[in-house]
Amino acid sequence: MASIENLKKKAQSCLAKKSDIPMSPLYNMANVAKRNVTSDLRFLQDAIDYLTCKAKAKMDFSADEKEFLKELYEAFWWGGMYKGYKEAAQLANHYVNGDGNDKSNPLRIDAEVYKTSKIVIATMTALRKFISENHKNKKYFYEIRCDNVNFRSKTYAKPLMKMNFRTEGKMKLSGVLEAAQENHRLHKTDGHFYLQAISVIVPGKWFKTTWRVDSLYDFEPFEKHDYYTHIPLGTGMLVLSDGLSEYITKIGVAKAFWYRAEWTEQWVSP
Amino acid sequence: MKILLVLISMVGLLSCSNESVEREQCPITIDSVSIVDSMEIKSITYYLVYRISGWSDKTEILELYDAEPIFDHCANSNKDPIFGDSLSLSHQVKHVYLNAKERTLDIEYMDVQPSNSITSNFKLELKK
Repeated sequence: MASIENLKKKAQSCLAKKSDIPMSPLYNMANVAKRNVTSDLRFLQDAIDYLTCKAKAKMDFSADEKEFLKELYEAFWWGGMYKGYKEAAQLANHYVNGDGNDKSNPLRIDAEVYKTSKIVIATMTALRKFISENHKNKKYFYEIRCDNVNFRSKTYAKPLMKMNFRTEGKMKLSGVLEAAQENHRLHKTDGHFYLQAISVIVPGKWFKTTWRVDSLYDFEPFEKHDYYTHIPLGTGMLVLSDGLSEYITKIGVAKAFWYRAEWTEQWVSP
Repeated sequence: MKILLVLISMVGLLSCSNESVEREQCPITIDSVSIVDSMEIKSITYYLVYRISGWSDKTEILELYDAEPIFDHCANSNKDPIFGDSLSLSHQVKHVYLNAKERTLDIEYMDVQPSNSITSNFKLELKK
Protein backbone atom coordinates (compact mmCIF):
# COMPACT_ATOMS: atom_id res chain seq x y z
CA MET A 1 0.00 0.00 0.00
CA ALA A 2 2.82 2.32 0.95
CA SER A 3 4.55 1.67 -2.36
CA ILE A 4 1.39 2.62 -4.31
CA GLU A 5 1.25 5.86 -2.32
CA ASN A 6 4.92 6.42 -3.09
CA LEU A 7 4.34 5.88 -6.80
CA LYS A 8 1.40 8.31 -6.69
CA LYS A 9 3.56 10.95 -5.05
CA LYS A 10 6.32 10.36 -7.62
CA ALA A 11 3.78 10.62 -10.45
CA GLN A 12 2.43 13.93 -9.11
CA SER A 13 5.91 15.31 -8.70
CA CYS A 14 6.76 14.32 -12.32
CA LEU A 15 3.62 15.92 -13.71
CA ALA A 16 4.60 19.15 -11.95
CA LYS A 17 7.81 19.14 -14.00
CA LYS A 18 6.05 18.44 -17.30
CA SER A 19 8.18 19.28 -20.29
CA ASP A 20 7.40 19.71 -23.99
CA ILE A 21 8.36 16.74 -26.14
CA PRO A 22 10.60 17.46 -29.15
CA MET A 23 8.98 16.55 -32.48
CA SER A 24 12.22 15.50 -34.15
CA PRO A 25 15.12 14.68 -31.81
CA LEU A 26 17.40 14.02 -34.80
CA TYR A 27 16.93 17.64 -35.94
CA ASN A 28 17.67 18.95 -32.42
CA MET A 29 20.71 16.68 -32.08
CA ALA A 30 22.08 17.80 -35.46
CA ASN A 31 21.65 21.42 -34.35
CA VAL A 32 23.62 20.80 -31.17
CA ALA A 33 26.28 18.62 -32.80
CA LYS A 34 27.05 20.94 -35.69
CA ARG A 35 26.06 24.39 -34.49
CA ASN A 36 26.26 23.96 -30.73
CA VAL A 37 22.72 25.29 -30.24
CA THR A 38 22.52 24.80 -26.48
CA SER A 39 18.79 25.55 -26.32
CA ASP A 40 18.19 22.39 -28.39
CA LEU A 41 20.32 20.37 -25.98
CA ARG A 42 18.32 21.76 -23.01
CA PHE A 43 15.07 20.99 -24.83
CA LEU A 44 16.11 17.35 -25.37
CA GLN A 45 17.52 16.91 -21.86
CA ASP A 46 14.39 18.36 -20.20
CA ALA A 47 12.22 15.92 -22.15
CA ILE A 48 14.49 12.98 -21.22
CA ASP A 49 14.53 13.99 -17.54
CA TYR A 50 10.75 14.33 -17.49
CA LEU A 51 10.29 10.90 -19.12
CA THR A 52 12.86 9.35 -16.75
CA CYS A 53 10.84 10.70 -13.85
CA LYS A 54 7.66 9.21 -15.35
CA ALA A 55 9.39 5.86 -15.91
CA LYS A 56 10.56 5.76 -12.29
CA ALA A 57 6.96 6.36 -11.21
CA LYS A 58 5.87 3.60 -13.64
CA MET A 59 3.49 5.99 -15.43
CA ASP A 60 1.94 5.51 -18.87
CA PHE A 61 3.53 7.34 -21.79
CA SER A 62 1.60 9.26 -24.46
CA ALA A 63 1.94 8.39 -28.15
CA ASP A 64 4.12 11.51 -28.68
CA GLU A 65 6.40 10.54 -25.81
CA LYS A 66 6.79 7.01 -27.19
CA GLU A 67 7.51 8.37 -30.67
CA PHE A 68 10.14 10.72 -29.23
CA LEU A 69 11.98 7.87 -27.51
CA LYS A 70 11.85 5.71 -30.62
CA GLU A 71 13.24 8.56 -32.72
CA LEU A 72 15.91 9.23 -30.12
CA TYR A 73 17.23 5.70 -30.64
CA GLU A 74 16.93 6.07 -34.39
CA ALA A 75 19.00 9.23 -34.04
CA PHE A 76 21.68 7.14 -32.29
CA TRP A 77 21.78 5.03 -35.44
CA TRP A 78 22.60 8.15 -37.50
CA GLY A 79 25.13 9.34 -34.91
CA GLY A 80 26.72 5.91 -34.59
CA MET A 81 27.07 5.45 -38.35
CA TYR A 82 28.40 9.00 -38.71
CA LYS A 83 31.09 8.32 -36.09
CA GLY A 84 32.03 4.87 -37.41
CA TYR A 85 30.33 2.62 -34.84
CA LYS A 86 28.24 0.69 -37.32
CA GLU A 87 27.55 -2.36 -35.14
CA ALA A 88 26.56 -0.30 -32.09
CA ALA A 89 24.38 1.87 -34.35
CA GLN A 90 22.74 -1.21 -35.87
CA LEU A 91 21.95 -2.59 -32.39
CA ALA A 92 20.49 0.72 -31.12
CA ASN A 93 18.23 0.95 -34.17
CA HIS A 94 17.15 -2.70 -33.87
CA TYR A 95 16.22 -2.11 -30.23
CA VAL A 96 13.34 0.14 -31.33
CA ASN A 97 12.62 -1.34 -34.76
CA GLY A 98 13.28 -5.07 -34.32
CA ASP A 99 10.91 -7.79 -33.19
CA GLY A 100 12.86 -8.92 -30.11
CA ASN A 101 14.87 -11.80 -31.62
CA ASP A 102 15.11 -14.74 -29.26
CA LYS A 103 18.20 -16.91 -28.84
CA SER A 104 17.13 -19.32 -31.58
CA ASN A 105 16.77 -16.54 -34.14
CA PRO A 106 19.39 -13.89 -33.28
CA LEU A 107 20.11 -10.74 -35.26
CA ARG A 108 23.33 -11.27 -37.25
CA ILE A 109 26.04 -8.64 -36.99
CA ASP A 110 29.42 -8.28 -38.70
CA ALA A 111 31.96 -10.52 -36.90
CA GLU A 112 34.87 -8.23 -37.80
CA VAL A 113 34.35 -6.19 -34.63
CA TYR A 114 35.07 -9.28 -32.47
CA LYS A 115 37.62 -11.20 -34.49
CA THR A 116 40.06 -8.29 -34.71
CA SER A 117 40.13 -7.68 -30.96
CA LYS A 118 43.20 -8.76 -28.98
CA ILE A 119 41.32 -10.63 -26.27
CA VAL A 120 39.37 -12.64 -28.86
CA ILE A 121 42.53 -13.48 -30.83
CA ALA A 122 44.31 -14.61 -27.64
CA THR A 123 41.28 -16.65 -26.48
CA MET A 124 41.03 -18.34 -29.89
CA THR A 125 44.69 -19.36 -29.65
CA ALA A 126 44.19 -20.84 -26.17
CA LEU A 127 40.95 -22.57 -27.17
CA ARG A 128 42.62 -24.18 -30.21
CA LYS A 129 45.19 -25.74 -27.84
CA PHE A 130 42.41 -26.99 -25.58
CA ILE A 131 40.36 -28.43 -28.45
CA SER A 132 43.40 -30.14 -29.92
CA GLU A 133 44.45 -31.53 -26.53
CA ASN A 134 40.94 -32.86 -25.83
CA HIS A 135 40.77 -34.47 -29.25
CA LYS A 136 44.14 -36.15 -28.69
CA ASN A 137 43.02 -37.42 -25.27
CA LYS A 138 39.66 -38.58 -26.66
CA LYS A 139 37.78 -36.03 -24.59
CA TYR A 140 34.80 -33.90 -25.62
CA PHE A 141 35.83 -31.00 -27.89
CA TYR A 142 32.84 -30.29 -30.15
CA GLU A 143 31.33 -27.31 -28.35
CA ILE A 144 33.51 -25.41 -25.91
CA ARG A 145 32.75 -21.96 -24.46
CA CYS A 146 35.48 -19.75 -23.03
CA ASP A 147 34.03 -20.00 -19.49
CA ASN A 148 34.50 -23.80 -19.52
CA VAL A 149 35.99 -24.67 -16.10
CA ASN A 150 38.51 -27.19 -17.48
CA PHE A 151 39.67 -24.71 -20.12
CA ARG A 152 40.13 -21.95 -17.54
CA SER A 153 42.21 -24.25 -15.34
CA LYS A 154 44.83 -24.74 -18.07
CA THR A 155 48.13 -22.85 -17.76
CA TYR A 156 47.74 -21.45 -21.27
CA ALA A 157 44.35 -19.91 -20.32
CA LYS A 158 45.69 -18.09 -17.24
CA PRO A 159 47.39 -15.22 -19.14
CA LEU A 160 43.96 -14.23 -20.55
CA MET A 161 43.04 -13.02 -17.07
CA LYS A 162 46.16 -10.88 -16.82
CA MET A 163 45.80 -9.01 -20.10
CA ASN A 164 45.59 -5.24 -20.05
CA PHE A 165 41.91 -4.32 -19.58
CA ARG A 166 42.49 -0.93 -21.15
CA THR A 167 44.36 -1.80 -24.34
CA GLU A 168 43.75 -5.53 -24.91
CA GLY A 169 40.65 -6.60 -23.00
CA LYS A 170 40.73 -9.49 -20.55
CA MET A 171 39.01 -12.58 -19.26
CA LYS A 172 37.17 -12.01 -15.99
CA LEU A 173 37.17 -14.55 -13.15
CA SER A 174 33.81 -15.92 -14.31
CA GLY A 175 35.27 -16.65 -17.75
CA VAL A 176 33.43 -13.85 -19.55
CA LEU A 177 35.55 -11.79 -21.97
CA GLU A 178 35.69 -8.03 -21.49
CA ALA A 179 36.27 -5.70 -24.44
CA ALA A 180 39.29 -3.39 -24.19
CA GLN A 181 38.36 0.09 -22.98
CA GLU A 182 40.29 1.65 -25.83
CA ASN A 183 38.64 -0.55 -28.47
CA HIS A 184 35.64 1.77 -28.65
CA ARG A 185 34.05 0.04 -31.63
CA LEU A 186 33.78 -3.29 -29.76
CA HIS A 187 33.30 -1.80 -26.33
CA LYS A 188 30.23 0.20 -27.44
CA THR A 189 28.88 -2.88 -29.25
CA ASP A 190 29.36 -5.48 -26.55
CA GLY A 191 31.19 -4.87 -23.28
CA HIS A 192 31.19 -8.51 -22.10
CA PHE A 193 30.67 -11.67 -24.08
CA TYR A 194 31.37 -15.40 -24.28
CA LEU A 195 33.29 -16.89 -27.20
CA GLN A 196 32.14 -20.33 -28.25
CA ALA A 197 34.02 -22.79 -30.47
CA ILE A 198 32.01 -25.39 -32.38
CA SER A 199 34.49 -27.77 -33.97
CA VAL A 200 34.51 -30.81 -36.22
CA ILE A 201 37.32 -32.85 -37.74
CA VAL A 202 37.62 -32.61 -41.49
CA PRO A 203 39.69 -35.01 -43.67
CA GLY A 204 43.44 -34.38 -43.46
CA LYS A 205 43.52 -33.94 -39.65
CA TRP A 206 42.20 -30.40 -39.92
CA PHE A 207 39.81 -28.86 -37.47
CA LYS A 208 36.96 -26.79 -38.78
CA THR A 209 35.80 -24.37 -36.10
CA THR A 210 32.86 -22.03 -36.12
CA TRP A 211 33.56 -19.23 -33.67
CA ARG A 212 30.41 -17.72 -32.23
CA VAL A 213 29.42 -14.90 -29.88
CA ASP A 214 25.79 -14.75 -28.72
CA SER A 215 24.81 -11.72 -26.66
CA LEU A 216 21.66 -10.13 -25.33
CA TYR A 217 21.02 -6.45 -26.05
CA ASP A 218 19.31 -4.94 -23.04
CA PHE A 219 19.75 -2.28 -20.38
CA GLU A 220 19.90 -2.46 -16.60
CA PRO A 221 16.63 -1.46 -14.86
CA PHE A 222 16.44 1.35 -12.29
CA GLU A 223 16.16 -1.19 -9.49
CA LYS A 224 19.42 -2.94 -10.35
CA HIS A 225 21.89 -0.21 -11.29
CA ASP A 226 21.78 3.56 -11.40
CA TYR A 227 23.64 3.72 -14.72
CA TYR A 228 23.62 6.63 -17.15
CA THR A 229 24.82 6.87 -20.74
CA HIS A 230 26.55 10.13 -21.65
CA ILE A 231 26.25 11.09 -25.29
CA PRO A 232 28.56 13.92 -26.36
CA LEU A 233 26.82 16.58 -28.43
CA GLY A 234 28.51 19.81 -29.46
CA THR A 235 30.30 21.15 -26.41
CA GLY A 236 27.83 19.49 -24.05
CA MET A 237 26.36 16.06 -23.50
CA LEU A 238 23.02 14.35 -23.34
CA VAL A 239 22.53 12.19 -20.27
CA LEU A 240 20.23 9.22 -20.72
CA SER A 241 19.30 6.94 -17.85
CA ASP A 242 19.77 3.23 -18.60
CA GLY A 243 16.69 2.66 -16.45
CA LEU A 244 14.63 4.67 -18.96
CA SER A 245 16.16 2.69 -21.84
CA GLU A 246 15.06 -0.50 -20.06
CA TYR A 247 11.61 0.87 -19.15
CA ILE A 248 10.75 1.49 -22.81
CA THR A 249 10.65 -2.29 -23.32
CA LYS A 250 7.72 -2.33 -20.86
CA ILE A 251 5.69 0.25 -22.78
CA GLY A 252 6.12 -1.28 -26.22
CA VAL A 253 8.73 1.13 -27.62
CA ALA A 254 11.69 -1.26 -27.64
CA LYS A 255 12.43 -4.97 -27.39
CA ALA A 256 15.49 -6.66 -25.86
CA PHE A 257 16.96 -9.10 -28.36
CA TRP A 258 19.71 -11.63 -28.98
CA TYR A 259 22.36 -11.01 -31.58
CA ARG A 260 25.12 -13.17 -33.01
CA ALA A 261 28.51 -12.80 -34.67
CA GLU A 262 29.97 -15.89 -36.28
CA TRP A 263 32.99 -16.79 -38.37
CA THR A 264 34.59 -20.05 -39.50
CA GLU A 265 38.17 -21.20 -39.95
CA GLN A 266 40.11 -24.38 -40.68
CA TRP A 267 43.27 -25.02 -38.72
CA VAL A 268 45.76 -27.76 -37.90
CA SER A 269 46.71 -28.89 -34.44
CA PRO A 270 49.35 -26.48 -33.04
CA MET B 1 6.65 15.32 -42.73
CA LYS B 2 8.94 12.93 -40.83
CA ILE B 3 11.02 12.26 -43.95
CA LEU B 4 11.38 16.00 -44.51
CA LEU B 5 12.64 16.50 -40.94
CA VAL B 6 15.13 13.64 -41.34
CA LEU B 7 16.39 15.20 -44.59
CA ILE B 8 16.77 18.62 -42.95
CA SER B 9 18.60 16.99 -40.03
CA MET B 10 20.92 15.15 -42.41
CA VAL B 11 21.78 18.37 -44.20
CA GLY B 12 22.53 19.82 -40.76
CA LEU B 13 24.73 16.89 -39.76
CA LEU B 14 26.71 16.84 -42.98
CA SER B 15 27.08 20.60 -43.37
CA CYS B 16 29.99 22.64 -42.06
CA SER B 17 29.98 23.66 -38.45
CA ASN B 18 30.18 27.30 -37.39
CA GLU B 19 32.27 26.24 -34.40
CA SER B 20 35.65 27.86 -34.77
CA VAL B 21 37.32 25.95 -31.94
CA GLU B 22 38.52 22.47 -32.92
CA ARG B 23 37.78 19.99 -30.17
CA GLU B 24 38.85 16.38 -29.87
CA GLN B 25 36.15 14.03 -31.17
CA CYS B 26 34.83 11.88 -28.34
CA PRO B 27 33.52 8.34 -28.92
CA ILE B 28 29.76 7.85 -29.38
CA THR B 29 29.31 7.61 -25.60
CA ILE B 30 31.64 8.96 -22.96
CA ASP B 31 32.52 7.53 -19.56
CA SER B 32 31.12 8.93 -16.37
CA VAL B 33 34.00 9.62 -13.99
CA SER B 34 34.14 10.78 -10.39
CA ILE B 35 36.81 11.10 -7.74
CA VAL B 36 35.30 9.13 -4.88
CA ASP B 37 38.05 9.20 -2.25
CA SER B 38 41.60 10.30 -1.51
CA MET B 39 44.27 9.42 1.04
CA GLU B 40 47.62 10.97 1.89
CA ILE B 41 50.57 8.68 2.59
CA LYS B 42 54.13 9.96 3.02
CA SER B 43 53.24 13.32 1.49
CA ILE B 44 51.67 11.74 -1.63
CA THR B 45 47.93 12.13 -2.03
CA TYR B 46 46.33 9.16 -3.77
CA TYR B 47 43.01 9.64 -5.57
CA LEU B 48 40.48 6.89 -6.18
CA VAL B 49 38.44 7.36 -9.37
CA TYR B 50 35.28 5.45 -10.22
CA ARG B 51 34.63 5.18 -13.94
CA ILE B 52 31.61 3.70 -15.72
CA SER B 53 32.01 3.08 -19.44
CA GLY B 54 30.10 1.42 -22.27
CA TRP B 55 26.71 1.77 -23.88
CA SER B 56 24.09 -0.91 -23.21
CA ASP B 57 26.62 -3.16 -21.45
CA LYS B 58 28.50 -1.14 -18.84
CA THR B 59 31.91 -1.74 -17.28
CA GLU B 60 32.78 -0.35 -13.85
CA ILE B 61 36.41 0.56 -13.26
CA LEU B 62 38.47 1.75 -10.33
CA GLU B 63 41.56 3.85 -11.06
CA LEU B 64 44.28 5.08 -8.72
CA TYR B 65 46.18 8.35 -9.29
CA ASP B 66 49.10 9.80 -7.37
CA ALA B 67 47.99 13.38 -8.06
CA GLU B 68 44.57 14.89 -8.56
CA PRO B 69 43.44 14.11 -12.12
CA ILE B 70 41.59 16.57 -14.33
CA PHE B 71 39.17 15.14 -16.88
CA ASP B 72 38.44 16.67 -20.27
CA HIS B 73 35.10 16.73 -22.12
CA CYS B 74 35.72 13.14 -23.34
CA ALA B 75 36.38 11.94 -19.74
CA ASN B 76 40.09 11.45 -20.49
CA SER B 77 42.40 12.36 -17.61
CA ASN B 78 45.35 14.75 -17.93
CA LYS B 79 47.65 12.03 -16.56
CA ASP B 80 47.72 8.25 -16.57
CA PRO B 81 46.47 6.38 -13.52
CA ILE B 82 49.18 4.47 -11.64
CA PHE B 83 46.76 1.53 -11.42
CA GLY B 84 43.37 0.58 -12.84
CA ASP B 85 41.15 -2.45 -13.12
CA SER B 86 37.62 -3.31 -14.12
CA LEU B 87 35.36 -4.65 -11.38
CA SER B 88 33.78 -8.08 -11.23
CA LEU B 89 30.25 -8.19 -12.65
CA SER B 90 29.17 -10.97 -10.37
CA HIS B 91 30.45 -9.89 -6.95
CA GLN B 92 29.95 -6.90 -4.68
CA VAL B 93 33.06 -4.95 -3.69
CA LYS B 94 33.81 -5.33 0.02
CA HIS B 95 37.07 -3.44 0.48
CA VAL B 96 39.34 -1.30 -1.67
CA TYR B 97 42.81 -1.46 -0.10
CA LEU B 98 45.51 0.95 -1.12
CA ASN B 99 48.89 -0.73 -1.45
CA ALA B 100 51.14 2.34 -1.47
CA LYS B 101 54.34 0.29 -1.63
CA GLU B 102 53.28 -1.49 -4.83
CA ARG B 103 51.26 1.54 -6.01
CA THR B 104 48.22 -0.69 -6.65
CA LEU B 105 44.78 -1.44 -5.27
CA ASP B 106 43.76 -4.75 -3.70
CA ILE B 107 40.06 -5.12 -4.32
CA GLU B 108 38.23 -7.60 -2.11
CA TYR B 109 34.81 -8.94 -3.05
CA MET B 110 31.86 -10.43 -1.20
CA ASP B 111 30.18 -13.56 -2.52
CA VAL B 112 26.98 -11.70 -3.44
CA GLN B 113 25.69 -10.10 -6.63
CA PRO B 114 26.46 -6.37 -6.87
CA SER B 115 23.41 -4.26 -6.14
CA ASN B 116 22.68 -0.64 -7.00
CA SER B 117 26.15 0.87 -7.07
CA ILE B 118 26.64 3.97 -5.05
CA THR B 119 29.97 5.59 -5.78
CA SER B 120 30.36 6.81 -2.22
CA ASN B 121 30.57 3.15 -1.16
CA PHE B 122 34.11 3.00 -2.47
CA LYS B 123 36.57 4.11 0.19
CA LEU B 124 40.33 3.74 0.23
CA GLU B 125 41.47 1.62 3.16
CA LEU B 126 44.79 0.42 4.47
CA LYS B 127 45.24 -3.24 5.37
CA LYS B 128 45.84 -3.70 9.08
